Amino acid sequence: MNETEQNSGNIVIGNDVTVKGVLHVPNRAIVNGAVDGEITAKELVVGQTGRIVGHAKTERADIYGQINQTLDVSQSLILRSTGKIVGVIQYTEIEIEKGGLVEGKLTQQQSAPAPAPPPPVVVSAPEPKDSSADEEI
Amino acid sequence: MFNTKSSNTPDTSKGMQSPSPFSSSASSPREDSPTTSASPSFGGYKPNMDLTSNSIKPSVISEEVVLTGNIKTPGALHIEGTVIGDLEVTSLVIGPTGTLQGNVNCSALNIRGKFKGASTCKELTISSSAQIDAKITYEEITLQRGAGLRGELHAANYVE
Repeated sequence: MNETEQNSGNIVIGNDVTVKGVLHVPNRAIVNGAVDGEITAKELVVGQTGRIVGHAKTERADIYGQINQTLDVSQSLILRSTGKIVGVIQYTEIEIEKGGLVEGKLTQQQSAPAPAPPPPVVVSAPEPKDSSADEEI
Repeated sequence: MFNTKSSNTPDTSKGMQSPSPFSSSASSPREDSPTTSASPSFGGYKPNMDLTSNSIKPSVISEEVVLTGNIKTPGALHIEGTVIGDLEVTSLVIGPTGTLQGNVNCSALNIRGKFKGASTCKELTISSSAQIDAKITYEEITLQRGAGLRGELHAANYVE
C-alpha cells in the first residue's frame, strides 16, 4: 500500500463521537466512538471504546471493542482480548484471543477469494540442484 | 553351653530383629519418597498432571479406534480416534486425528480435530487444525487462526 492509498479513503471516529447512518469507507475505518447503522470498509479497526450496532462489512477486521448484530469479514477477523461480538458473524479466517467474547452464530465462507500461493520461481540459470533432480528421475 | 546358646540365640535374634525393623522402617520412607519425589522429578515431562485436578491417568482413545457410547470420568480423556456419544469429563482433548460426535460436559476442552455436537465447558481452546460444527457454551475462549468453526457460541457469563 503506497502513501496516497494510505492517506485517502480513511475515517477515524473518535471517542464520544456518535455516527448514525451508512458509511462507505474505501480504505480503513477506525472506530473509537459509536456507529449506529451500516459500515463498509476495506479494513475495520474497532478500538477499545468503539462500538458498532448494526451491520459491519469488511475485508479485515481487528476488534478491540464491541460489535452488535452482524459482522461480515471476507478475509481475516481478529477478536482481541477486550473485544466483544454479539450477533451473527461471517468469516473466512478467525482468531480469538483469550478473553474475547463471542455470543451468537458463526458461519465460515469458502476461502476461494484468498490469494493463491505464489507460483514457484523459475530459475533460468542451471544450478547444482538440477543434477540432484536428474538423479531422482 | 545352654547359657551360651541361650545367650547366643537372643543375641542373634536381637541381631536379626534390630536390623529388620530398621530396614523396614528405613525402606518404608524410601518407598514413599521415590513415589512422591519421582513424579515431579520426571524432568520436563509431567504426564498430564496439570490437565486433571486429581491425579487420575488420562484415558486415551487411540487412532482408528471407533467408540460408540457414553463416557464419564473425573479425569482426562484424549481422543485420537472416533467417539460417538456423550461425554462427561474434566478435561477433554480431541487430537488432530480425533473425531467426536456428541455432547460434552467438561471443564477444559481442547479441540484440534473434528467436533460435531454440543458442549458446555469452562475453558475452550480451539487449535488451528480444528473443524467444528457445534453449539458451545463457554466461559473463556481461545481460537487459533486457521480453525474452522460453524455453529453457535455462547458465553456463560454474558449479560445483555
